[in-house]
Amino acid sequence: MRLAFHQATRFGLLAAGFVLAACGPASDAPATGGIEGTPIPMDYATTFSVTDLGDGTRLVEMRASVSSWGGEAEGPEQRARIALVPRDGEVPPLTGALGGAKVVRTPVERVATNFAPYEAALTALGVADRLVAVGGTTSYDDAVHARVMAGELEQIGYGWHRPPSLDAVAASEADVMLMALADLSYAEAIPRIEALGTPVVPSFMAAEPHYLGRVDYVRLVGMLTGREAQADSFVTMVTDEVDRLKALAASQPKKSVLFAWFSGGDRWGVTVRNDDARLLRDANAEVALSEPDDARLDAMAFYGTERLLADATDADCWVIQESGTEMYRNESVLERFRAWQEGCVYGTILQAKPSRNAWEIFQDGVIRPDYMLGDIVKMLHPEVRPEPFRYLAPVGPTPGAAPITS
Amino acid sequence: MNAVSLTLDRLTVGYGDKAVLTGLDARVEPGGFVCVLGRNGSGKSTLLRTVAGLQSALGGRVRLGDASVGPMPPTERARRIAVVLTEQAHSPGLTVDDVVALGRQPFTDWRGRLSAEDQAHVRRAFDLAGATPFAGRLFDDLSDGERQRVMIARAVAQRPALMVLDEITAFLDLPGRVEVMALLRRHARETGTVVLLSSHDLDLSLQLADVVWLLADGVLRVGTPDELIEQGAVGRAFDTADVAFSAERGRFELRQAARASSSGSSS
Amino acid sequence: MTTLALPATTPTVRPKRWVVGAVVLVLAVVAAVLASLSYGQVAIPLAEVLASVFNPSADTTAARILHDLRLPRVGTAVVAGAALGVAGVLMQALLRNPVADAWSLGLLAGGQLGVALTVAGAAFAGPAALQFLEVFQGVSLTLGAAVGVSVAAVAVLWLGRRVGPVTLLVVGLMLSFTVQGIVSVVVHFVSRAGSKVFSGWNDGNFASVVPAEWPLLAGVVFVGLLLAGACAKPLNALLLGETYAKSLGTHVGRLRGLALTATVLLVAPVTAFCGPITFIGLIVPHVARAIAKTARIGPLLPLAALSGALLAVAADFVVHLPWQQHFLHLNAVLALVGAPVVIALLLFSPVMRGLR
Repeated sequence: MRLAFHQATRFGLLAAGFVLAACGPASDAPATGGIEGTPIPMDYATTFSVTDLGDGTRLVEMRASVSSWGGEAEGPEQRARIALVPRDGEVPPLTGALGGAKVVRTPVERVATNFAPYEAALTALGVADRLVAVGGTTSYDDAVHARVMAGELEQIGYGWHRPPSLDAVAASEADVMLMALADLSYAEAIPRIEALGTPVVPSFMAAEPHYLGRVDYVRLVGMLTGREAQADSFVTMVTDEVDRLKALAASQPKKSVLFAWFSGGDRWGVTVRNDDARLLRDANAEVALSEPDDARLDAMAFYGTERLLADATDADCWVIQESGTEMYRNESVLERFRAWQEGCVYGTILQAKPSRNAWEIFQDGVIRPDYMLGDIVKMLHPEVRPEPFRYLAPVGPTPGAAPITS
Repeated sequence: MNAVSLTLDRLTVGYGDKAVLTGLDARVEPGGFVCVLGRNGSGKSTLLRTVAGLQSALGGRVRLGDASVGPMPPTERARRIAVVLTEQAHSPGLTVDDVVALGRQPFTDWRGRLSAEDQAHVRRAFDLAGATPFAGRLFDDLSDGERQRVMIARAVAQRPALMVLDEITAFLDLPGRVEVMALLRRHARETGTVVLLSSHDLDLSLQLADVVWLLADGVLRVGTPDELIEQGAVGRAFDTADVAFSAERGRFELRQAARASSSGSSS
Repeated sequence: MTTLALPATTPTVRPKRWVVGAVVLVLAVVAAVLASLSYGQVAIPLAEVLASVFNPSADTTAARILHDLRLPRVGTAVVAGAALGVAGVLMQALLRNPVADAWSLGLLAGGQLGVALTVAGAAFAGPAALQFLEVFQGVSLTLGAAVGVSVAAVAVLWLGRRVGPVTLLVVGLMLSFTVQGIVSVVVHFVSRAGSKVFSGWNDGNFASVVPAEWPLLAGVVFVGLLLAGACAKPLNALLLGETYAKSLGTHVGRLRGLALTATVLLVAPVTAFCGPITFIGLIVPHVARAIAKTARIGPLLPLAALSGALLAVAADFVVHLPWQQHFLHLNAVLALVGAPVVIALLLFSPVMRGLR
């Protein structure tokens, strides 16, 4: 699922929030109070709202409660305010509800991002050629990868590998930077990037309570790039596919799923609530070890092997391996689980280019939750979904599976 | 332990190809208390290390009784020869009791357990070296002088036929030196141990030694203190421009006249 | 002359402090093991623990947790703690350095590098080699670690005769940093498939040992403990330095080789199976000396093995308490106990202050 995506962004969001609170407007005024404009509704996104101010100008208000990875929310709600103003339009006075807003002139022609899902969004909107800088050489997209290797794209550094390289951002002369951070200390780069003339739009995708909320970010990218119609139809396509899969799953008997990947020692990252648990439930699955939804807690919790042995041995199916994670080796433990005995144990290991540490699930998969939803439905009810798996593959004792010591 | 004599037989000592002292002959009877004297660099330490079997002789041999020290197996040698060095031992958590008990190590079983007899030797050694007040303390917490006494107690506990002590009085005050040298001499007399001790403390050595081994210019002179003084050998070995050994008074004196004239001529 | 009026601390009259200490430690280890077996994220009543231990065929949740998880983990903690404690005694005696231990002087780092290079080599050689490595993971990684630990140990021993204890400590810690750097570079260049074998490996823990590997771990450590026992007597003499050791009949070179072999046998399997476990080997010898009131190696060995096991089991117990939301790291818990001890040693030990 998007767990490693969490890993990549969670600290970054927190860090970005701090900086925004420190350098941004820090105003408690209502989001669009005092502004004449028409709200542009988002079906699922709650971490940003958009108001049409006329003449093609949009006000984007971003706010998110940010949880630490596998933990709970820290600090107050984080905010950012961005005015999207057409290139040929006039910049309205940045006072009142527009006070402290940063201005991005649209459509942006040169986009820098250190966050792979934004690359996927640009590609989906047909404007991947506007990329001028990406995180590094690990893009799953072969075309982007080739351009990086050929030196055509600057490398900013992925947020979870190193702080953004300011030289690369400056050299790219980007109109906007779509940014995720991995460490609080990297956040000090934001004002410096903006001082270099590139406004920064942070990503709060990981804080969306519904997995379709992150798909709405594609619409934000559409507004930035002048591809709103394409973005709307992309979102509709994903939403329709999700609805179709939900209906398909609802026609089948309920089964239970344990989504827990081994994170070393005897620790497991377990999906227990919020958006990721919702996706499992939408596949008509009971979520093993589930907890009540809570916006201030992460979707994933770390549990010991003991907890799994005590409370999750009855799950019908088990997603045990995240892209690139180690396989749990203690077979006498695994044999206690029904999912293992019955051969319904899977890992998100397909669509991978391990030689360069690239995983589609952390790129396109983030804005295409229907892929994973379809896989979960197929894992639970193979008979109703003949399409091949996109990310999941059997691991463990299933016939034809990879050796469990992988 | 049986009392035996120590014999140097055409002994040549040194490092590698470089001989420091050549063709030394000497013999010490059981119970002999020998002071090895000589200026820095005269080869005292090399000689003592060779006699103790810690380095090989370049020629000739060292004999304890009838046995030659060089080819002796290490354990066998450790039962006959005890060594105390200037080198300061230290180790985390080492207690005074540990150190003295180590003297019995060549005699214990593979686990190093002390028999009642071993323990009696240890107790006696504590007492004889005047180290009893330090028992139970951490070795590293003692003063240099105190630690030297503990090391002597360890050597005594080893009940060797030969004790070799190199510059051990350096850290002691004058009463301490007298006491230590006197107790070593008494120990030699009472047990028949041959004690070979090097020291910078010329006056004291000349007063207490049965025999002096005087090293100067690559030559070993052996004799009683009186003999060597009378021959003027001590003076030849140690006199400098500023001090001279007075045979009448048995100690060094400033060359007053020489000083006066040299300072007069130079000014 | 009052020959017999000696204090009670001379060898004859000394009560066998270490025997008393060892008995108390055995009880403490048993208590810690029972606590670890019965408490964790799931609490199991002590009576049920004992019943399950003696009735392995039971198939209750409690029995599963005990047999599949807690017994192997606690057993590993006991073996690894004992091994590291004894290795610490050997190294502190060999180097006459109160802060010497396999971790602080970079032996664990050497072992890690050995494992990393083993995996990298296999990944480089191709899928077949990697397959072999996966199947024979325990043995191959232990061998890789053993080579790395040996090289580091010989280097440290060589260096230990030429520089002071503080310098040696700093060099050892720097060696660890260097190895971390090299390992991350190796991982960077080796395909992800290979690096999976030691992912999460910079974080030491006792939970990764699967029951089938336990005999290998315990067996190698056991041989190491026997060798350590054989070294005990001659190592005593080495406490006074090389010359004195020689004068007391010790073959210094042979002894060094033996003690070093024992150290490698103790440290390598622990590194291979548990990752770098910090501080245990460093502080446990001091605990043992404080209990025994002696630096004689003989009594220190059982005391260090027992207090090492106790510290390891206790730290592992703290890690596995049912913490909300967060998981503590074993080395973080050990550092809480260990780092202050090291600071105290640096400040108050005459050797470390350069006074001796």
